[in-house]
Amino acid sequence: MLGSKGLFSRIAIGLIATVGYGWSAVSTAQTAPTWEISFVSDLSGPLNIYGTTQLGGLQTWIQQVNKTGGVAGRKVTIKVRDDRSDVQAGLSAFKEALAEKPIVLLGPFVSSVTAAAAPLAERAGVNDIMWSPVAALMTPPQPHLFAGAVTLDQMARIQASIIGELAKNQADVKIVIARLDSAAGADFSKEAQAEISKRGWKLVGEQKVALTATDISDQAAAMAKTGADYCLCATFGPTNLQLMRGLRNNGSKMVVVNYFGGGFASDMLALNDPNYYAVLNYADPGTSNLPAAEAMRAQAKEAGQDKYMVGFSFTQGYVTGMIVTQALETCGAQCDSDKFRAALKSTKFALGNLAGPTTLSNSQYVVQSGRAFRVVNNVITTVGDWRSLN
Amino acid sequence: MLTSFVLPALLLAGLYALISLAWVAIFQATGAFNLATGSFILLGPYLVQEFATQRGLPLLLAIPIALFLSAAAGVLTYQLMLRPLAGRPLLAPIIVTLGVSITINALVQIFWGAGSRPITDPKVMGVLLLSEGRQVPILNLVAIAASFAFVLGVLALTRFTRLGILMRASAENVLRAEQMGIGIHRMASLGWGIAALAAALAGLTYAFQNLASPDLALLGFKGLAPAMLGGFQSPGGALIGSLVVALLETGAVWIWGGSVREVVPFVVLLVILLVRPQGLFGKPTYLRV
Amino acid sequence: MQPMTTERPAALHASTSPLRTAALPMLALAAVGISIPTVFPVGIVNEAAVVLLAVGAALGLQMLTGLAGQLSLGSAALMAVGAFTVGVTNSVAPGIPFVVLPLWAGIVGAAVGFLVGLPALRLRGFYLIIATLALHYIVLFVLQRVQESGPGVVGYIVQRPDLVADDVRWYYVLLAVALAVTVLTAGYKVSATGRAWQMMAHNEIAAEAMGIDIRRMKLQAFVLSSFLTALVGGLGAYTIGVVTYESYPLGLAISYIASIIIAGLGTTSATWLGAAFVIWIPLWVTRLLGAYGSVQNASVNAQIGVLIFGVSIIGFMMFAPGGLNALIATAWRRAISWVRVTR
Repeated sequence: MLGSKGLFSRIAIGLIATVGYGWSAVSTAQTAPTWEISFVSDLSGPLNIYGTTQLGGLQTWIQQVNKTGGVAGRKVTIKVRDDRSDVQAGLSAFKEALAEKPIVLLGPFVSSVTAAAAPLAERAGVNDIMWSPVAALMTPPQPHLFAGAVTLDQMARIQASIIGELAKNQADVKIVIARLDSAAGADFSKEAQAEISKRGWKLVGEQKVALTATDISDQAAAMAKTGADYCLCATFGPTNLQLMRGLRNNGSKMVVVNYFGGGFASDMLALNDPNYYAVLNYADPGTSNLPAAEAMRAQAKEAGQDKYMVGFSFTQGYVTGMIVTQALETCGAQCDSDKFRAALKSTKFALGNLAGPTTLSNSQYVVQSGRAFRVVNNVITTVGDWRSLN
Repeated sequence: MLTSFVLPALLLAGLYALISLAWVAIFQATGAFNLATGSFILLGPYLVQEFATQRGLPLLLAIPIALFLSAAAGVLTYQLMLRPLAGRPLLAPIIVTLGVSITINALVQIFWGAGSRPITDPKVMGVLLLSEGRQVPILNLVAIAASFAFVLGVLALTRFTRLGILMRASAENVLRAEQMGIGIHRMASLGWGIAALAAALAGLTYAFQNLASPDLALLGFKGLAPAMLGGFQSPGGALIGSLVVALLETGAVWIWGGSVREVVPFVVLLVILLVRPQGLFGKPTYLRV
Repeated sequence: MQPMTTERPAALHASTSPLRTAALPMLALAAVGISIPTVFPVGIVNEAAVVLLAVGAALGLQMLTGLAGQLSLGSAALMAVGAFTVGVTNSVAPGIPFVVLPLWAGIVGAAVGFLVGLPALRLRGFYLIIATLALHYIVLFVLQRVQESGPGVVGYIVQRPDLVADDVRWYYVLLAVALAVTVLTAGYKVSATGRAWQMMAHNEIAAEAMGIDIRRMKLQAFVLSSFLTALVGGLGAYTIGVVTYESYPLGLAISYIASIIIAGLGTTSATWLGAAFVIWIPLWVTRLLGAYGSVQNASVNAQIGVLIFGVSIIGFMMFAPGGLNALIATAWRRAISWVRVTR
């Protein structure tokens, strides 16, 4: 009796689990074989703005590709998972994704999840394009792990080189650093200081900004007092707004060069400050002088994803999709995980200037450069060209 | 000095004054420790954002509506959830307010999303020009003034008006007050309404200069230090406590940099609890073991 | 007039078979726990592992808050202390055998508990809960600096030895630990110390008048509870594989308080249900909603899950203050008496 009762409850539990345990994948039941790519990012945690927009961009491109029959005769489907920017949840989601053995996995998003999860991908032999990499995983380079963005310390180098460009004919350059009070911010600061001394500039101050700070007008005033010409900044969100307002209210005209976290379109347009630059790895969707961006906007509208076009992370999803399908094309109809990796390495990518020139032949970085963007006349425009990592 | 220390400290003090008033008023009214104070802080700016920015009502109309609704939320919380718990052990109302705070925070994110939203340009009231190219948005000064005015107003209410005396009587001895015919539930509701109003106003003064964001809820806990320093017994104590804590926080950031900003109120809190739990102006009420 | 009853007073019942009443549910939990990996895919097993960690932490909290009545919001900080002890020790002295580290984490936690307990002796009620709240932020502040001066944003990488590297095997390890902690808690509950705790929680003055050394009892509760919580935190480090300060927000401590409230203060087996409720309800609500709508609305779905969770806390506290334990016990009693009546 116990046996049949156990069996019945097992079946019931199994049914409930199957019904309730549903991840709404983009694909409906397909009869033809498809290319399966896996997506893991923050869809519902504190940084969900990134994950939802990345997915929006990715889906826009994939829908575009599928419209013309897909790649090498097969359509592409995306298996979506949420990592909630939480190490525990993210790790479980990632492990499940790994078990399905996708041809490529896109994710995770937050560094702490990536640090724990990506090594598992390497061990399982699954190709992984991380939305935000972890420096320790990139040196020495691991064959299956690719970086879909640059690390914060690399960002510091790119930002410094852009300041170098802006301050070309200036003697006696004074720099102030303002960065998040976090472990990532500490890494940024170390690299920033190295760059500053390398270029012979003067570091006149450093402000650490708490992530949940109530009011930082005192810190902004202190920054203004230093008389710095430039800020090598890594701040985002409400504190960024406070910082800028505080600086200007205190009479400082310093040029602020911020990392991509301070580069969301809504923030930049709200600031409307021509001396505020954000360095992005991917072009903002609203960029004015970029035909590929215009095409992307039109496709997004068609795909119903235009409400997610709020920042560069949309482009990140879109471009990553482009890279995946272009590599698939190179790979051909018999593509598998190993052949895909080889294709990634050999493809010459055409990204329409939505990201800098990219080749993976001698690098694991899908993105290797950053570009400065700023707001002029209420429109987001590019400044200068893509500056590469090296 | 003015813009790098004095004004920020005053702004912070005003904020803390309102938040600590929210803690104290509820403790005085019902003896409860309202973990949902942070959530009431959220209601102010998000409601104003909804009515003003989304629905286009003029600010002068949106603000009172938002404040009224926040106060109503406070009264409702008392009537629906705390009043039925009278007589239960201390843990009960604390946990219920915890549930309320989780619920309100979730509702805010469901309706308005997890991102931050601007309410208005701080320059909307113009700026005050200072030396060396500096300027102060008049809105900031108005915010400081409004915060202190509100707290002083409540203080005056409890000290000098008949209603205030009834409230204090009800707080001091509920049984006696009820016997004397004082509507204790009405007094308690009033206390909760004032507290929620103060919290919402705090959220507003902050958000007007910056943004409305879900992080505002954390302010609630930071406001405990001034309340504790003042002794949880009177709005006046909370006011003085706010000035002290704001000075300490701004001063600590001045000396040690921005990383200590978030932890200073809690260090102050701990020190108070270990050295003098009744604060500066409170009477020791608990038995020491 | 009251009819004479032939039933013995409840108090006498309680003293005759406390372990027997506890044993049956524990066996049931063990049975369910053992069978989970056989029925469900490894994804669910990993989630169950997280639940087991929460059970451990919640039981630690039950000792302190449920039995001894000391309100504390410090469990997240203690979990972090345990995890960081494992992480730091492992990076500084990698040779130390794996079995030792979680116990070492527990010892460090116990020391912290002692240091916290001493001044806390003077605080009661909400003074105590505020103090633990302040401590949470202070401890996390310190740990953040520790991490920044060490591995930085990556955190401390902690790897399980090959013997338990497999997730299902590790799950069984956690299951064993959770059951052991349950037995320990149940044992304490009926011991002299546990009874003293409960009396102290009920009425401190009366307890002291009866000769109970309040100071010693409180300290014991703090130390033991902190030991367990930090030990579970150390095991958590091995479960996740990486230790970062961001994994221990105040919300975690709140979720443990919610677990013990929903389970019923002072209960042991029911705490499993409380922990499972707190972890799985928001998750499953999100999934169910996500299955029928756009996955890009995940954040709204997640917040709806949190909303339901918040409302449940209110509901339990107002209408079922004895928690799930009381609800189940009542239902069981009704079922039994119904069976008796219909015989």
